Amino acid sequence: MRTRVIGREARYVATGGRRVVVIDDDPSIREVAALALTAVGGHEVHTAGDGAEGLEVARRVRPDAILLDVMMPVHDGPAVLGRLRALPELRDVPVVFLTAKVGTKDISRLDGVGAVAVITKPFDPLGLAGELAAVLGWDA
Amino acid sequence: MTGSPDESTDGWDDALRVLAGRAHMRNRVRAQRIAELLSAPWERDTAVREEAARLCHTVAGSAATFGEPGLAEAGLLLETALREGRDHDVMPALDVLRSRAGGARSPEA
Repeated sequence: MRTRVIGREARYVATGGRRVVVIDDDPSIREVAALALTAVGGHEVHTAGDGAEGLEVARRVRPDAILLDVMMPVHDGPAVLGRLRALPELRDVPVVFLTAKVGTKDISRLDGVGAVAVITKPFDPLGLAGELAAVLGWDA
Repeated sequence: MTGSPDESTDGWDDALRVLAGRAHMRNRVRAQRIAELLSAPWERDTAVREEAARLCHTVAGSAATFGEPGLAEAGLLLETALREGRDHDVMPALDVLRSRAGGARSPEA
């Protein structure tokens, strides 16, 4: 695995797999998700710390999927998803929410916003790539 | 770092350990920030309450992911107290959070 750090964005390059953008305001979650998705999933991972940066990264790298935190300052996950859907080049990119908020009211709010699925925190780093593959229908 | 979890996990475990240490330190800083926010009059300040609750949420998610369930629980309890308006529970919950976030990370059972 090669790692290049470009500004605040870390790019983890593996030997194959899909291209995934991870958007989360917690650097620890970005780090462990990127490690898990490259080391276990073999994916190329780009990370971003907020919605604005995430949109910029996604427009540039054209990912196969976006893992998006729900609770972020300024623009939360659903708001970022709305912006993604307004961009023709990103409209069809599958988005999976990543969140610790999984009460009934929270799920109701996330339902119908347009994400493919919700992965809850805490997640098992060893299992994240498999979970993502399962919800997106990728070969694990 | 190789791609198969069936191969030696030493590198993987070491990497996770490093990330867990960083996460703990970040949560410690968040706990300090939460305490700062709640040291001034906060009960009627919606913005402060929301920022404190959001930080608690981050602590809870991060701590749970990196194997600190006690700290995660403390974050969740304080977040819930703030969001549900249970103001009398906030300071005791903050004390617990600071206690569990402070100091070097110790493995939890």
